[in-house]
Amino acid sequence: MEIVEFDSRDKMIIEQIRARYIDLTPEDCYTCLKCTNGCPATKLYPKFAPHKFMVASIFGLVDDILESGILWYCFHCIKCETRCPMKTAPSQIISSLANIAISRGIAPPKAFTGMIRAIKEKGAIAQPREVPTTDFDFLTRDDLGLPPRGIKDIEKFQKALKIIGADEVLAIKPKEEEK
Amino acid sequence: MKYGFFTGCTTQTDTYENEISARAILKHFGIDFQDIDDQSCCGTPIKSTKYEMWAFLSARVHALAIAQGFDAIATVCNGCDLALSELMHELEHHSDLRKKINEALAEEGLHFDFPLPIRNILTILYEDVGLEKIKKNVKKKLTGFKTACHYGCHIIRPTSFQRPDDAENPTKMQEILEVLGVESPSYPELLDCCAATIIGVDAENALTVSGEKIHIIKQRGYNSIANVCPFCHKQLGAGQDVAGRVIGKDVKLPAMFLSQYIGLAIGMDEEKLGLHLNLTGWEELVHK
Repeated sequence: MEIVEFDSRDKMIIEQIRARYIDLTPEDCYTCLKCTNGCPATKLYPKFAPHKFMVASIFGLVDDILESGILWYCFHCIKCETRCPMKTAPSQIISSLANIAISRGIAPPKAFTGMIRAIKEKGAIAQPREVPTTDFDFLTRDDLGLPPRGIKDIEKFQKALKIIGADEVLAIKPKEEEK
Repeated sequence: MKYGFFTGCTTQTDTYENEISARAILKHFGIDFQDIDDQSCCGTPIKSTKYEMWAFLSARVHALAIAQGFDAIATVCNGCDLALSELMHELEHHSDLRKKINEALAEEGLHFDFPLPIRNILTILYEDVGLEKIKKNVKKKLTGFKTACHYGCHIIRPTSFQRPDDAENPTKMQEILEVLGVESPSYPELLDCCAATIIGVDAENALTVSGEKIHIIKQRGYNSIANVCPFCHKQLGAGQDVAGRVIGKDVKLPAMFLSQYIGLAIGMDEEKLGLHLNLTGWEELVHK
């Protein structure tokens, strides 16, 4: 096992987590493992263990976790939060850590950049699709008499998204492309 | 109370039957609602990538609804309901974020001061309409239905602020279905997640989780599923064929939205409830 110098720890990580969600208190975790024992993602991915993310945050040793991409396998079912006796909200902390990874230039899975791009273009995470019917027809929103959707002034909407930092996420290059 | 109707991405681009049936049922029960004009994504899907963008998108929906004179926002998706409700909770002590959001909103001439109440369709049906009124409107009891409810995670959690139903023991969907004549007992997997949130990262495992849930529901003797969330419905309804292929089991089972069950019981036309867009094989159960 590799030995990590304790002094190399990131002492600011808890503050960075709290910068996004003010009332988070990962330091209250006493590793009872109720979160991990009830976690549906842990059943599929043994490396996904909410209590480990909590401990890593307390110690400020999160670099490996952020680099590994494991955080993206969270279901965000929020079961951990309801199970936690100390109300530490692991799912929010996982979400916050993923945010920190992105702010450090670590790319999210393609599905996420795809959704941000779609929001930027049309205001929604996907394009309206033609849906099949029980009579083997294909119908659109319009065919079904549903009102049209979309952003009226897309340029202004995109300017607002730029201010809020959407383009920063889109600008991150996935690792393979860097090589 | 005048509701601003918010559809959210999945419903407006894919699960049209959710929108069609919700509109039909709200209209039938005289709920005062109108579409929020110029609406965009609620922010939920991208919350883990950029927190500020989630907050901005959610605030944008509130700001539009306020500017258009609505008293509350009606949601038909668990994810949207969570994002729009959580924003109020988050921004209470977050003045920097509020400032940044308003700076971005100003580009479109919008402003966010206070959040509006968020009411999910389940809350509207249970509280605004009420079981008594639904019961009085039932024309044809849905006998022979043994339906497994799937609430979906975000309508019952977290517990740190008000959600439409209880986190440990939700009952509202089942109470409504029972008024319609549907038998809807609880089951051990009731609160299990549909895994829709990881479909973009690991589709095979996402469909394994949903497929196994449908499979166990079938094994427990249910002949149908009821959903309120379009994202869950994509996993437990529309996604059945693929999920069945992934896990190598037969997971075909009629899955409909709660509003479609209500519509059928009060005698509404199947097409007016969007059932012709539902490919889960509901016909035999409904027509018998």
